[in-house]
Amino acid sequence: MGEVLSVRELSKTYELKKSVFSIRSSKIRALDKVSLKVNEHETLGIVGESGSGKSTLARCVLLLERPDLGEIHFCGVDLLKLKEKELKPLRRWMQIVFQDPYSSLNPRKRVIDIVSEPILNFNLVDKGTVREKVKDILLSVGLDESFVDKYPHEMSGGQRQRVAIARAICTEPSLLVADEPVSSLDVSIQAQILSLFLKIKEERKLSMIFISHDLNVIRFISERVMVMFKGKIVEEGEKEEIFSNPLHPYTRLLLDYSIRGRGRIRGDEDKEGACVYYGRCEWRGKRCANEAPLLYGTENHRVACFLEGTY
Amino acid sequence: MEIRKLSVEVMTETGFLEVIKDVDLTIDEGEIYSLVGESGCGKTVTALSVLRLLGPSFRVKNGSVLFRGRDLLAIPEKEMEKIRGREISMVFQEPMTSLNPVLKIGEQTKEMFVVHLGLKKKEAKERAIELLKEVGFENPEKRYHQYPHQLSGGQRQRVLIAISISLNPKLIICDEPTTSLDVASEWEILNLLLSLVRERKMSMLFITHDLHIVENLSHKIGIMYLGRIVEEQKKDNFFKKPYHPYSQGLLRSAFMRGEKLIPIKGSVPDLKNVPKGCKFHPRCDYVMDLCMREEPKPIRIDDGTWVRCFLYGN
Repeated sequence: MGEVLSVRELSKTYELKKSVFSIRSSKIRALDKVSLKVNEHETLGIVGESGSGKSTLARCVLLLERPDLGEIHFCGVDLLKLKEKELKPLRRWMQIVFQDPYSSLNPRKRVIDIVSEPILNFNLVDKGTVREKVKDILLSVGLDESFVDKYPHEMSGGQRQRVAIARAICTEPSLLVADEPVSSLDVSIQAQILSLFLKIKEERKLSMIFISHDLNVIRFISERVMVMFKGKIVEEGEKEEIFSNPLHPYTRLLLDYSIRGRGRIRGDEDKEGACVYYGRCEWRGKRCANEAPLLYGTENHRVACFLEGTY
Repeated sequence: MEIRKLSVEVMTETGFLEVIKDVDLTIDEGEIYSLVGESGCGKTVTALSVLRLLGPSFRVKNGSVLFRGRDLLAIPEKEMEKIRGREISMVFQEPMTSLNPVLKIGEQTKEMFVVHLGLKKKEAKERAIELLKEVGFENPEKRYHQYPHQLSGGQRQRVLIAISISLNPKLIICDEPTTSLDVASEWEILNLLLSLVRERKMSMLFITHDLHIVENLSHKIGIMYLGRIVEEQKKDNFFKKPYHPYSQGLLRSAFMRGEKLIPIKGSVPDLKNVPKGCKFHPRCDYVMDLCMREEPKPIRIDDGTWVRCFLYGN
C-alpha cells in the first residue's frame, strides 16, 4: 500500500495575549512535532479531548492554516514548498468535512450551489450537466432529488451533514479529513452518518483522517488510531493493538471512561520540560518531571511513555 | 415526585402543537430516574414544566405534577417560589451561560443563603466556602474570589451544582449537565453528582441522550420519543432486554450491542408533521397496519416495566 499522506514533525504555536492591549503574550503549543502517515484506502482515527490539537492538525495538514515547522508530503509532493497558486489545483484531491453542519454551509445558497461550486471551480464537468452530476452525488450520500433546490435551514442536522459530505466528495478527492463530523448529531443520526462514511470510503477508495473525542466512534471507523494529548502524540498504532493493549496511562484512562465508564483523574498542572501528561499521570516518576519521552516502538504500536519498552 | 398524564403545547404561527403528551413518571425517594431521548423529544420541556419555568408560548394542556402531596401546577406562584431551589432545584446544560460573568463565584454561591435563609453576610460566606469544598474544590477560599471566566467548564458546572444543592433540595433535576464537557471532566461531574445524591439522600431526574452515562448512573430509565415516554424499565433490565424497537435501535446506534452498528432508518420528524398512529412507525422495522392507525397505550410487562408498542400485550 502506498502512502497518500506523510507528515513530519509538524509544529504550530499560537500566541495568546492576556488582553487586547498587553504587550507580553504567552505561547500555546497546539502541535508539537507531530508525525503521521496515512496509507492508501486507510482510515486514521485521531482521538483526544478538546484542546489536544486534533483540529489544528487537521487544518494544518490541509494547509488551511500554515504550520510553523515541519513537512507535509501529499502523494509525494512537498506541500509546504509550493506557492499558493501551485497549491490550488491540488486542493481538489484533499477535502474536509467540519463538525458543525449549521455553520459550515452558507445559509444563502441552495444545495445545488453548495455542491456544484467545487465541481465548476475545478472544471470537472461543464455547466449544462452539472445539475445531473450533483443529483448523482446527492443520491450517493442518501439524499433524493427533492433536496437539490433546498436551503440549509430547510434541512435537519443529519441532512446538512450529508450535504457537507457531498460537497467534500464531489471533486473525487483521495484524502478526506473529517473533523468531529458526528459529534453535533443525535445518536440515531450519528450512526447513519458513520455508516455513510464507511460506505463512501469503500466505494471511492478514499483515505481518511477521522477526528473524534469518542473512542467508540474511532473504534468503529478506523484502521489505525492516534491518541493526542496537549499537542503531542502519546500513543499510536493498529486499532486492535490500541484497544486490546493500551500502553499509555492516558489511553487507558480514556478507555476506562468511554468504554467502561469509570475512572478518576487528578488535577492538571504544567511543568516545563516534563512529559506532557506529567500533571495528570498516576504513575509519574522522577524521570518524567525532567524529560519528555519520545514515541517508541514498532510500526504496529508506538507509545511515548517511560513506563514502557526499553527506556 | 409523580408526573401524571402531563401534556404541554406550544403556540406557533400554525396553531398549538403538542410538545409532550401523557407523560407519566414517578421518582421515589433517593431514586435516580434517567430520561433519555434525542434532541427535540421533549425531555427539557418535561423538566421545565415540573418547575413551572416554561416560556410564555407554552401552556400545560392537562396533567398534574405531584410533589410531596401537592400539585405543583395548581399552587400559587408565591408558593412555587419557595419550592424552587429549596425543595426542587435544577442544573442546566450550559455552564458557560448559567453563571453571571460579572459576579464573583462567591457572590453567586452565597446568594441562596442570603435570599432564601436570610443569613448574615459573614455566615453566608462561611457556608458558601464549605459548599465549594464539598463539591471538590481544593482551595475554596481562592475560588470564592474568582470570576466565572477564570474557571474551566467542569469547574463552572461544579459551582452550579454547589448552588443547586445549597438549600438541601429533595429533588435535583439535571438537564444534560455534562454535554459540553470533555470525557474526563464529564465523569468527574457524574461521580460528584452520584456521591451527593447518596450522601444527601436526594432524588434525581437526569436528562440525557447518552446511554453510556445512563448505564452507570440510574435506577430507572424512561425512553422518550416525540413527546411520549415509549418505554420505562429498571436500569439492569433495560440493558438486558429493551422492549420498544426505538430503544433497541438506540442501543445499537450507540455501540452498546457490540461493535456492529445498525442505524435507525429515517430521521426524527418535526413537530408540524408528526405521523399518525404510533409516532415511531415510519422508522420502525416491525411496523404493522395497526401502528399506522392507532397510538399504542402503555402496556405493562412486569413490575417496573411498561412499553408503548403493539408488539406486546394482546
